[in-house]
Amino acid sequence: MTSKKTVIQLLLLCGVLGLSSCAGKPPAATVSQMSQAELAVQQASKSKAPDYASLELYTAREQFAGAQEAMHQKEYTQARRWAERALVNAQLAETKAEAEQTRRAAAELRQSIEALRREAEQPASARR
Amino acid sequence: MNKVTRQYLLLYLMISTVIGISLVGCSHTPPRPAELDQAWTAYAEARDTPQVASRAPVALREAEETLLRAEQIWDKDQDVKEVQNLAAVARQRAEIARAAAAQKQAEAELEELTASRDRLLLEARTREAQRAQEQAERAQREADQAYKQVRATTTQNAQLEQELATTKEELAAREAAAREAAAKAQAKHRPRTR
Repeated sequence: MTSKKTVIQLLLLCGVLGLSSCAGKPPAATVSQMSQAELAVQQASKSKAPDYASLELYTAREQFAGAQEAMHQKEYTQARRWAERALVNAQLAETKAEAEQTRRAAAELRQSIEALRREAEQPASARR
Repeated sequence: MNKVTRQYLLLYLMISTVIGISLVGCSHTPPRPAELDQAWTAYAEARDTPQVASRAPVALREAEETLLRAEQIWDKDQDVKEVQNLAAVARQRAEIARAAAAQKQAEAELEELTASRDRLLLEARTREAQRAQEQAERAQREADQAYKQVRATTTQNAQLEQELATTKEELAAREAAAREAAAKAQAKHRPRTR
């Protein structure tokens, strides 16, 4: 009697466990990684990355699309891996774009400084 | 001599045991992914670049942590796919460190340039003010000179006028004297004609 009960209980437990894994609830790590990657890709898209780091941004987007596809297929480990890759590539795109933007600003400023220097020298030589 | 050979024998035994064990181990585990070592190389290159090490230590540490995690996973479960993925992530993190260092450097340069532009603008403004002051001073000097000249001319005019007046007076006096003399002379002649 008691042994029968335990067997039933065990079976029930197995059924619940099996269901929970089959129901395809993605693991928390995957979910968190997916949202992080999504955020990073969005942020990179809003930055200067489309102009200055389009290749990296493209890669990140493709990888995130791969992650979404894997989520769809319930291949959660694969999804997490793609999301990890997408995250770093989005970050790389943004950082690269930021560096390029700053470099360009510096180059522009250098030019205006040159103009100022020339202006400063010209009237002096013209007056002499 | 005997002792030495025994030591050698022991060493040989130890080495062969180690090799044997590792061979057995190898036969069970998949080969270590080349990506992991490549990622270590990429990380080391970034770390050994002084600018990256000094300007992007956080990004470098993240790359290193990813690599260490990959090593851990490799040691524990030899999950080739997971390790390959982590190696790729670590490589990109090393790249992020490089980009972050470049960004910091460009920022520092921008700051320096901004300072030198401000200095140049200040210099230009000072120079302009100086020039304006010089111009004002020159104008003042010129005005002073003109005033002096006018004054000198005026004094000269006054002198001339005075001289003229004196001459006129003299002339008038002389005329008067002449008239008087003429009148006197007429007076002498009149009685005779009468």
